Amino acid sequence: MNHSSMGIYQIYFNRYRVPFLAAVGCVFLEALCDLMQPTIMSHMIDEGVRNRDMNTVVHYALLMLGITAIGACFAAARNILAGSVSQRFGAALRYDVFEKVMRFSETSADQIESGSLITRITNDTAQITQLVNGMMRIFVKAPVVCLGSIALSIVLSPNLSVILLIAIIIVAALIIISMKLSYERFAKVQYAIDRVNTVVQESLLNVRLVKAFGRYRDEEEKFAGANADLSTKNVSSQLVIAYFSPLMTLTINLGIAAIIYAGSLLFGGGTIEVGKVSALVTYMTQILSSLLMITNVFNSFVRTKASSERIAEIFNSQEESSGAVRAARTGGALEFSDVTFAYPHGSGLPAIRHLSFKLKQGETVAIIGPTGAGKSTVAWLCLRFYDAVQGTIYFNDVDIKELDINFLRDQIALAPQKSMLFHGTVFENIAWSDPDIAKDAASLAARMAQAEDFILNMPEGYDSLLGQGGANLSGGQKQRISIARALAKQASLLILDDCMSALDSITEAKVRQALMHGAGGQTTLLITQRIGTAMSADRILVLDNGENVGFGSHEELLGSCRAYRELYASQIGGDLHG
Amino acid sequence: MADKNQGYEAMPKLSRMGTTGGPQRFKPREKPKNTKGTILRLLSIFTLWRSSLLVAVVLTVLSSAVSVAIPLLIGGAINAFQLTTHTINQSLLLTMLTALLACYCSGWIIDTANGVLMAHVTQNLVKYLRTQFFSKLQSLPLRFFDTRAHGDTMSRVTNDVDNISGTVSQTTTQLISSVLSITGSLVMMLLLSPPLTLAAMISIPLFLILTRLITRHSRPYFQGQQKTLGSLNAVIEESIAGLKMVKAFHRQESVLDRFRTINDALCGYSVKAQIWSGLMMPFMNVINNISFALLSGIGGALAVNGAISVGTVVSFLSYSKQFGQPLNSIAGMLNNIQSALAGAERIFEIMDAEEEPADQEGAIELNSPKGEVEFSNVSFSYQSGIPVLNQISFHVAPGAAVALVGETGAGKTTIVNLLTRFYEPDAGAILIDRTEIRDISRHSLHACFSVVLQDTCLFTGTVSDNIRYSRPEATDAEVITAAKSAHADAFIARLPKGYDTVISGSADQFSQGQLQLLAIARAILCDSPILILDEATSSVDTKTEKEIQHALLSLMKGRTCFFIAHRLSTIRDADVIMVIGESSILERGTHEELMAQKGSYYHMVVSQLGLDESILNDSYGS
Repeated sequence: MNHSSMGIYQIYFNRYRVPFLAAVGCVFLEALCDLMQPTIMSHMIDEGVRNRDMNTVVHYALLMLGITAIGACFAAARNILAGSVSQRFGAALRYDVFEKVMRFSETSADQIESGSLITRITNDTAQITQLVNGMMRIFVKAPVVCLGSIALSIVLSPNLSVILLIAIIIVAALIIISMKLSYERFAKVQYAIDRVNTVVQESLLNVRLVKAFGRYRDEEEKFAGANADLSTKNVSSQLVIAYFSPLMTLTINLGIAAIIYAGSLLFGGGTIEVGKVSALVTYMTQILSSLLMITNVFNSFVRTKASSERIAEIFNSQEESSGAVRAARTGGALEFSDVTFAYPHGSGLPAIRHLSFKLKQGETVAIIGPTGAGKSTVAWLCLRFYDAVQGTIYFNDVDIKELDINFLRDQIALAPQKSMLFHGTVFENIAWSDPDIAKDAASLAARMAQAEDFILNMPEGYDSLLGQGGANLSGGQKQRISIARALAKQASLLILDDCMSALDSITEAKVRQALMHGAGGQTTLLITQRIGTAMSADRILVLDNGENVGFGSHEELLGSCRAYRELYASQIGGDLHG
Repeated sequence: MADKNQGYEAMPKLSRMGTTGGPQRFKPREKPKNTKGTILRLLSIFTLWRSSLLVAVVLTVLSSAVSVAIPLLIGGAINAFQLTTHTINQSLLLTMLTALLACYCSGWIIDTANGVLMAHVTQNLVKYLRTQFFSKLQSLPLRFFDTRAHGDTMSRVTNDVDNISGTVSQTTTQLISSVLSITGSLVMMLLLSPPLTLAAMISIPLFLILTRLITRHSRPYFQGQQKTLGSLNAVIEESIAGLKMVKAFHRQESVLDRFRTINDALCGYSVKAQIWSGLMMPFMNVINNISFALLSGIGGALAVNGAISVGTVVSFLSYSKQFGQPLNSIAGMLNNIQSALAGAERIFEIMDAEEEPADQEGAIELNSPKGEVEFSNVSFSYQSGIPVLNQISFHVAPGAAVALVGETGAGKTTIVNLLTRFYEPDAGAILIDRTEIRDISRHSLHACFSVVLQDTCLFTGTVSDNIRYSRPEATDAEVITAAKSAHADAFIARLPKGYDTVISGSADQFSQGQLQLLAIARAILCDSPILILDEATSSVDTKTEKEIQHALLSLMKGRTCFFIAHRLSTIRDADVIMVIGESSILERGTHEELMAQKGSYYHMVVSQLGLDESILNDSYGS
C-alpha cells in the first residue's frame, strides 16, 4: 500500500464522500444566496426607487429576506455537516496513524524520532483536520463568491465588467508576485528561527559548561548574531506584505472609481441604470475580499502539505512481518546459528557478526562485553524487533521467522536497560503482561525483584498510582518494578538486559540471588557489563564488536579467552593479584 | 493552548486583519494574573520606540478617517446620477471622484508607511526582548536551570516573545482602528439618516444574543476537548516511548482499545465544539444580510418618498458594514491580547528571577593559582530542611587526586557545584589557595577549573571549535595534541572532514563514549590547575577507559584533581578517596586503607564486584 500525500485525502474522501459533498453543496448554495443580494438591490433601485413604486421596493426587500433565510439554512446545514465530517475524519486519521505506529517494525520506529512521531499523531493530524474543515467552509466559498461576482457583473453590464476584469487581473498578478516573494523570504525566516532555537537550546543544555568556562560573552554574541539575522529576515518578509497589501486595495479602489466614472458616461448615454453601477461597486469589493481569502487557502495548502507528507511517510513505513506457527512445544531453548545483523539505518557495519551460540532449556547464560559490543542487539533479535541479515535464530528448534510474532513474544519476558513504566497503579504495571494475574503472583514477583518493601511503603501500596513513565519513583525503584513485571509474566525465556544498573550493589546482589533460587525452569539470558554479575551464570558469552570471542563457564573463559581475562583484570583482577 | 511546535511559523497573510473572528475565538484562553501591572510594564518597554509608535497611532487614526470618508464620497458620486432626468451632474461627479482619488491615494500611502513602520518596530521590539531575555539567562544561577524544564524556557524565548510583538503591537493598532471605524461609521450614519441608523442598530442585540448563546453552549465542549486531548497525548507519548515494551509484551490491542475510547470521546467533544462555534460565522452573515435587506428595504422606501437620495442609501449600506464587521473581530482581538499578556507575564517572571551575586567590590584576581582547595564546615541544601551536606571539612593539597564515592544523590556532584560556585553554600567557607572563593572574581575563579561533566553535549560548529571551547585562543596543533592525549584523535581522523567536520547540535553521529572523549580533550586543552571529572568515563568501555586513564594520569600530574565515578575500579589510584553519605564524609583514605578498614567502601567494592566475601578475604585476608 503506497500513499502519496494526496492519497491520504483520497482514502478518507471515499469514506466520507456523501456528507462531504453535501457540505460542499451547501457552501455553494450559501455563496449563491450571498451573491444574489447586490443584484436584487440593483433591481430594487432601478425598478422600484426610480419609478417611485413602493410595492416593488417591498417586494424586493421581502425577496432579499427570503433568500437570506434560505442562505442561513444552508449555512447551518453545512456547519453541522462540516463540523461532524471534519472531526470524525480527524479522529479516524489519528486512530489509523496511531494504529499504524503500533504495528511499526523497529526499523521504521528507528527511522522517525519518537518526538516527531508524537507531533505527527497530534499536530499534523490536527493541521490536516483543519484543512479539511476549511475546505468545506471558506475554501469553496471564496472561489464561488469570486467567480459568481464576476459572472453576475458581466450579466449586469458587460461593458463595465471590462474594468472589473482588468482590476482583477492586476490584483491577481500582485498576489502571485507577492506570494512568490514572501515564500522565498519565509523560507529564510524559518531557517533563521531554527538557528536562534539551536543557540538557545545549546546554551541551556550546556549551561554548566558555559558557566565553568566563563563564556557568557561568546554565547551572547552568538545569540546576538542569530537574533539580528532573524530580525532582518523577518522585517524583509513582512515588508512584502506592507508594500503589497495597500497596493491591492488601491487597485480595487481605483477600479471602483473607474466604474463610477465609466458608469456616468454610459448612464448619460442611457445604456445603464444607477442601481447596476452601485451593484458593480459592491461586487468589486466582494471580489477583493474573496481573492485575499484565496491566498490564505493557498497558504493553508502549503502549510498542510508538509503535514500530509509526514503522515504519508508513516503510512508508507514498513510493518512487522509475522509467521503463522503458534503451537510449538513449550520451553525456552534458544539457538543463534551464524547470525549476522546490521542496523538498517546505522553505520552499515554489522552489529552482530557470524554469531552462534545455544541456550539449553533452563540454563542461565550471561552475555558480557564492552559498550557497543552488540549485547542488547541479541535481545532485540530474539524478540524479532529486527530480522537477521544472515543466519537463523531458533526458538525451541523452530526458526523464529516461521513463528507467529505475538506467540513468540508471549514466550519471552524482557526487563530492558531503560525501564519503561506506564501510567497506572503499581499492580497494573507489574501485571502488565496479563491483567488477570493473581495478587499473590504479582507480590511474589515484586519480592523477588526486591521491590515489595518500598511498594508497601508507598501510601496505597500496590494500588499507588504511578505518574507517566513512573515519574514519582527513583531510577532504582523503576528498574525493580520493571524486573518484577518481567518475572510476573512467567515466560519460558527471561531476558534481563543490563536492567540493574541503578540498583546499589547490595540490592543487586539480592535480586540476583532471588533469581537463582527462584527461577527454576526458566531459561535466562543475563546481559551485563559487570563481570561480578556474569559470574553467577551457568555459562558466559563474551561479545566483542559483535563477535563471539568466548563462550563457556567462568573458569573455562579465564583459561581460554583473552578478552574475558582483560575484562576480569580491569574490574576485579587488580584486587586479587595486585 | 500555546503551540508546542516551534518549527512551523504561520505563513504571513496578505490581508493584515488576523483571523480573529473565526471559531477559534471561542476556545478558552489563558488569562494574565496581573493585567494592569503587566500592561504598565509593557508600556514602559514600548516607550523605547515612543516616537515611532506615536507616528503609527497617528497614521492609524488618519487611515481610519480616510476609510470613514470613502463611503460618503461614493454615495456623493452616485448622487450625481440623476434618476429622474437620466443625466449626470458633471461638476458634482468630478468633485466627488477627485476627492475619492485623493482619499484612495493618501490611504495607500498611509497604509504603506504604517505597514513599513510597524514591521520595523515590532521586529526591533522582538529583538530587544529576546536579547534582554537571553542576557538575563546568562546571569541566572544554576539553580534556575536545574529546577526548570528547558522546553518551557525555550517556548518563552520563542513563542511568548513573538506573541507579545505580534499580538500586542499589531492587534492593538487593529483595535484602535476598529474602535475608530465603529465610532466614525456610527457618527456618519447618524448624520446621514437617524431612522436608518435605528434600523441598523437592530444587528447589535442580535449579535450580542448570538455571541452569548454560542459561548455558553460551546464552552463545556471546548473544556472537555482540552481535557481529553491531554489524556490522549499522555497515551500517545507513553505508548511511543515504550513501543518496544508494548510489542515485547504483546499489548498492542489493549493500548489501541484505550486509545480508541479516549479518541472517540475527544471526537464527540470536538464535533460539538466545532458545530457550536462554527455557527458564529454563518449567523453573523445572516445578521448582516438581515440588516442589509432591512436597510435597503427601508432606504428604498424612503427614497421612493424622496426623503433620501439613492447615493445616501449606498453610503449608508457601506457604513453599516464598516460598523458591523469590526464588532465581530473585537472580541477575538481582546482574547488574543489577553493570552499575549499572559505570555508577557511568563517572560517578566524570568526577567525578575534572582541573578547570580555579582563580584564583590575589590574582588581578587588569582594569578597563577596552585590549586589548593579547602572546605571548612560547609553546609548546603537544595531544599531547605533537607540537608545534602552538613558541616563538611576537608583539605586538598595542590596536585593531589581526590576521588568522591557514594550512592546516587549522596552529594558528590554537589561538592563540585559548590567548589565551582554554581551554588552558594548555606554556611561555611570554601577556599582556593587560601582565599575564600566568594572574594575571588568569577572570571578568575572559573579560570582555575577544567571540567568534564556527566552529560556531554556539543555545540553546533566544527569538531575543533568544540574542543577549543575551553580555550578559544588555542592553536590547531594544540587542539590536535589535546585530542591525541584524550584518545579522540583516532575517531576524529576517520570523520569525513576530520577536525573540520561540522557537528549538529544533537550530535547523533557520535556514540556517548566518543562524546566523552571529546569532552576530555576539551578539558585537557584548557590548562587549569584544578581538574574536575564528573562521571567522565561512565559511557566509555572499560578497555578504552583504561587507556584514557593513562592520558588522564599524565594530565593530572601537577594538578589538583577531583573525580567522581560509579565504577570503583577506576578510582583505585586516587591519593584520597572520600566516601560521601548521610550528608557527611563517612570515610577517607587511600584504597588500601579503606579496604583494610572494612567499612562502607569495602562493602561497596565487594557487592559491586559481585564477589563472595571469601574471595576477597583471600587477597585481603588479615
